[in-house]
Amino acid sequence: MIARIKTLLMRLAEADMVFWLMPPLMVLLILGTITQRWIGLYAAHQTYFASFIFWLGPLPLPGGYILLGLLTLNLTAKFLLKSEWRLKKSGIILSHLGALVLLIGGLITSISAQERYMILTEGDETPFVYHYINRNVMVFEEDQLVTSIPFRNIMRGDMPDLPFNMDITHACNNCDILRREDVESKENVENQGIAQFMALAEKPAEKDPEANLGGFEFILSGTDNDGRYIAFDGMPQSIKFLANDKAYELIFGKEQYTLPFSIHLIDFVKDNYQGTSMARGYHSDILIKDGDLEWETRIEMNKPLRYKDYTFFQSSFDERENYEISILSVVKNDGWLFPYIGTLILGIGLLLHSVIMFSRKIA
Amino acid sequence: MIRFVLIILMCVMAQPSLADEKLDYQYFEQLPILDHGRLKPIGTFAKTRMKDFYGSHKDENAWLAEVIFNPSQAVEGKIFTIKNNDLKMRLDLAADEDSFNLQDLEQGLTTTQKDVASLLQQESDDLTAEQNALLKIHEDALSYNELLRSFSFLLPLENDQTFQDLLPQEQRILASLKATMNDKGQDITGFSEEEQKKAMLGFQLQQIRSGGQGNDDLKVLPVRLNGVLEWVAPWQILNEGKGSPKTSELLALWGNAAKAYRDNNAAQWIKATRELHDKNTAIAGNSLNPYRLKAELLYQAIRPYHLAMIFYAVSILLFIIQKNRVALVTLITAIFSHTIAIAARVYILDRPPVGTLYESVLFVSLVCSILSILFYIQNRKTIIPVTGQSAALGLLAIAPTMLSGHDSLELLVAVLNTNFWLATHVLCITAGYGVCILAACLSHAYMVVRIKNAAHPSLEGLLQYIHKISILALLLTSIGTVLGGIWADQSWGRFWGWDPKENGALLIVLWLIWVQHGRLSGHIRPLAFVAGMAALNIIVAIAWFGVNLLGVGLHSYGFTSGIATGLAVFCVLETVLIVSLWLWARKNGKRLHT
Repeated sequence: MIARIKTLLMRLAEADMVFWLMPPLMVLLILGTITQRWIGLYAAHQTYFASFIFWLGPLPLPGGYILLGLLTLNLTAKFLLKSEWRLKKSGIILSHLGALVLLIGGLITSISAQERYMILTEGDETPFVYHYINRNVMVFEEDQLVTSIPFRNIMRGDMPDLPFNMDITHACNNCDILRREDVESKENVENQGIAQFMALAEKPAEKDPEANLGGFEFILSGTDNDGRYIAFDGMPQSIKFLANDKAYELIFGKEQYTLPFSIHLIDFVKDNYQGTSMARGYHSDILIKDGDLEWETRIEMNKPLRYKDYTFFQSSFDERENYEISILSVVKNDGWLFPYIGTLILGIGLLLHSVIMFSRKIA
Repeated sequence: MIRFVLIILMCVMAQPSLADEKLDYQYFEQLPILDHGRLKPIGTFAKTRMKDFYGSHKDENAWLAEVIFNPSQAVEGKIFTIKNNDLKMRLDLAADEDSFNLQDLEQGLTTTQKDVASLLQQESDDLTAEQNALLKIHEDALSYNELLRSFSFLLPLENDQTFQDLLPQEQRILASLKATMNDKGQDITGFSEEEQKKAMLGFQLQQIRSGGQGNDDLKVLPVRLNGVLEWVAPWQILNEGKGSPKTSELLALWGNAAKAYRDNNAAQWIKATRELHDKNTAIAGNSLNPYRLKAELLYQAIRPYHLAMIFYAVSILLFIIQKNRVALVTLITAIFSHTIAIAARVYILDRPPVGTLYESVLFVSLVCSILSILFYIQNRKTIIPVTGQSAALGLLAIAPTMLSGHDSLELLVAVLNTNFWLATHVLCITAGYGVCILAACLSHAYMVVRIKNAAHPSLEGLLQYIHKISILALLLTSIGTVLGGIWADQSWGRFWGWDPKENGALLIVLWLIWVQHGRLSGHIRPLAFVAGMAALNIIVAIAWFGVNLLGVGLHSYGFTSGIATGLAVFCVLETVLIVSLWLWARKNGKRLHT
């Protein structure tokens, strides 16, 4: 058994493994790039790169996980079993190690990285960040959060036990908003809130999943305000009703998370090239408030802020008549240091190898 | 709008054409102007505007001076070029002419205004060539109109005074006109001679005032308010009151220049423009580097890339006819011109050399030529500089097609506005492209030599060179790619996002790894390795330009349009060429073995 494993590992360590792995990896790369024009980056990423297999017509082909996994195994085996520990080969050894560190960093990032965003209006303070894509319904009872229901559960009709009945009649990942009078309903119930004027219908997903308008229709019963309701992204008001003499509130939107500190936006500045509306740079002057500590700092294009495992990037903005809104990207990634280390090792390795190669005399 | 402008121009006294005395524009062309966010010499502004309207430029300083100081005369110049026959028909223009003046266009532009409004709502990809040409001519006409009115307040009216001279009396004249009209009605024929003159003056003042509204294109006036320097257009001073005491001195100097121009007085003209130049420098202080403006004019005049191209071409010929020493000197001169050109851009723009697609082509071309001369000095094989210079020459020839406008000195979008990453990632990856192209071109040369003589003594050495260069290419492209990842991590919070531009760079790296490991493991024979290296040209072209055509991803600042066909043709021809060379060279090799 050990002999077999050893044989397998030795086989994995061969240079021709790379030779055989590269063509499918290049095909994957080309397909995953070209299809972005039609299906968008997110869908292409999920289909080709963050998958074990993908289908080319009826043909199953290895996805990013399999190919990059095999490449990682090959590099590990090569590094441990086949490295020639001589000065002349130091460049090759280091460059393979650098590539391995980059791949391991990629693996850790794909498992652990969390990407969120924060919306800050000038003068406002918040500890909340939001998921870019995932949504949920937060249920409040007497202003206390009692449960959060992920939208994917709502799409499946998988509802938790609640002190009232909430039957999902229709949910759409990307909704078209229609006029209520143009839609026929099977259930003969009273329409409540904006459901009196609006109805939702499914439409094809957008290329950019952030641009999808998620929403759902549901029927409440066992409350003092029974009837049909609708909820969708960016709905101006939450849904409020009474049940069993208690006040309930439903808020639908992007999944919300709380940071262990809060951020106050002092000022957002878009610095234009003079005489144009073309931006030369953007920055947010913020105040970080963490317990008793608070201090001012600046987040600007190409200069993020790293604090307590979180990194804040100036990602977008919105200019209103009298104030500005800054949108920060908030990333938590345990593998963020790997690319820096990997790049350094790879750089030194390839540089050494080049020097060694170029010092050889040409025939 | 056009009719309105023509009315204004009729208000001012037309001056005769200025052919009598040659005016010297040496100070005029150096005057600074803030255009598209960049402070540039007015000579560059004149050149790019003339190219926009006319398609080429000649005597651009004289043209601009006429447009702003004698618009009644300039308006007759046939400055607009229209080659699209459908558009000519639509605008009711003569089919056998390509050049038109504003009056020729007036009727057509008025009747197509509604069409333009609806075209502006559509995606530019959906528009036909004629519709695009229609949009352009409307845009050009608007821009030209604005230029014509830039200094309308300095133009002489009926009584030989200017709007500026009459400014203190403007309200009084208009009030008096209003009183007369209240008294005697709208019909001017019932007015006395004196009243008619006043009415005409009032009408002229009103027309010129309205024509100056929103006129902010010609930002030539430095205004320092509360310690902050701002460049404003003449009418902004009058409309928004942006001036300071020094501004009125500047306006007076512009007035002198305008008068000297109209009087065709060469001595007064040079005096006025020199004073303007000195005054601007004094007001702007440290915010204006006049040497940078001079350097830009010199750069535009010498056109060092054209010089470099000529020297590259001559050096290739000299190497081919084995005049190696002269060829080497010519080549060094070419590289010197090329380097000076890039250094001049760095000085003028005050940033690292590669920030746009155009600049990347210039830099990659230089990398090819410098590397090839270094290898030549090392081994004295002329095939290397001939190949390297051909690549450099070809790249310089296609560089202008990468420009988005007529000014090659462009500003950078916010994400690129970082000298550190421009000087590291961008230089590294573009140098990598250069090395890849050199390796690919040498591979072509290897196959050609092998076809001519499969036992040629230099083949083995050339193969070893290609292998070495492939290692250097891998070094630069892979480090460039991961440095790009680190920049992305700093800017967007992720090292790798499978964005098309990132994938393109990775494709080059994977291809290099594949051919090198295939050669190492014996799966790829030397000739196939060379063919694989030759194909780097295609891979680099796709990674460099092709992925931009997808129009998706975060690297949206690098997008270009209109190169798709050229790229597709290149890829097909190059594939056919490489496969043919490979098959032919393989056949010759087999014959030799037999």
